[in-house]
Amino acid sequence: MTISEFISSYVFPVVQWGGWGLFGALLWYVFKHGEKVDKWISRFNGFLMWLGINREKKYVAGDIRWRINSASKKINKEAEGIVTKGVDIVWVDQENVESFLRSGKVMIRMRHHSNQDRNISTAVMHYVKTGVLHTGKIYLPDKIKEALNLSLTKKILSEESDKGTSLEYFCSNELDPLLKNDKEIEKQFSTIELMEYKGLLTRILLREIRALGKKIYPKRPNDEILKETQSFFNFLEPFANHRGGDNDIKEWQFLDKNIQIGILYVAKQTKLDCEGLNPYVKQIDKKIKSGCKKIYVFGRRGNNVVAIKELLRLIEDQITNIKINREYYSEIRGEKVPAICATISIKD
Amino acid sequence: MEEKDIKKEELDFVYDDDLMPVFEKLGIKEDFINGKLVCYYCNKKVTNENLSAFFLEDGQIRLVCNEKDCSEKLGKREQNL
Repeated sequence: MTISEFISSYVFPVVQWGGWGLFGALLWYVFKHGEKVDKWISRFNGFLMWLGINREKKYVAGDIRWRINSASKKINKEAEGIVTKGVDIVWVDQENVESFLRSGKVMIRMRHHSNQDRNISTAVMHYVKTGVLHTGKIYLPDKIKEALNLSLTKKILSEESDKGTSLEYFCSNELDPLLKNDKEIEKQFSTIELMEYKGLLTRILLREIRALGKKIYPKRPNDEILKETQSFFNFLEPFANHRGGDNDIKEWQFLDKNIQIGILYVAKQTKLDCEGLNPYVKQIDKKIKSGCKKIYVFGRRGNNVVAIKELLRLIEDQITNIKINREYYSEIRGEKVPAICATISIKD
Repeated sequence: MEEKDIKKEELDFVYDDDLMPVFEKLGIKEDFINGKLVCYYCNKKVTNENLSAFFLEDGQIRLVCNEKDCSEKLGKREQNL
């Protein structure tokens, strides 16, 4: 092949179509990572704030939006559908305020950009209260609901805080004073934080709250439902406090009127070595027969992750609705290890 | 089956610089400036320093201050809407 042939065969098409390819790739990036583009636009507006109030509003809105949207995306990867696919920010002014008020909305004040940490903290708290699991949270007892809102706000702020300044603002001005003044909320908050650390928050608690909302909303929350959700929270508590061993968890399934779930840990290497997966298949079967509608199977460390995947392959002929959630990393005594949570849903 | 199409949440905010024109439109600007308006929950005077939110109820504009208890009560109201 001569040089001119090479150029006409390979270089020209690349040059000719490369521009379109780059443009297509750029569009794809914008489509898949809108929040990152938002972040850069917001920073650009930050540089141009001296141009006037509209630029400043764009900066404040964009800065809040990309943080929430980016955190929402990460949380939804842990458990799809737990939070909304981000937020849109609408500025209310003298032209549209009356229609917003008539529709029953609460107008939240946003301050100048010099108070941006406060703005972000206010916006995320507002978003969590009104937009995250709205239909499920109403069935939680007040103190658990409050603690959950605080924990979710902290989680969102932790996911996307550049220098941690908005998280710091939230912790010192909102979270700490509240926990100091209310021991019950502090207790529930600590349990939820442990659940988060163990991977149970998004994978079980929030998922089940959401499922509950989908099942019974808009029914008014009554004592029976509040008692059930309180019991469910208490049921998860030993799993949050679990430090290994067999004896600290007594109940491995929760069966009530609206929530029926089982939990299974694949964790014992000796059991796997001696008996294989058979005991786990039997346990799943037993849970299904006792009325569990969903079984969460957890495993940490590489060998247990592999064992769970094998276990699911063994039972997939009998149970069609099995979902392996995104693998994650968990900590065991300071060591970062791969972990997995699979959900087995049993249809009626 | 998990939902994949959960809509975006709309957050409605009033920017500091728009506050006075908005209050003028709602007919409460003078009373606000003269310190005649109080928090719906704690009854304390609401000023430019401590105003955190407002809403419409029974045809009246209700202002809310930034006290912890009042923010909590506002949060509960929003969650129950």
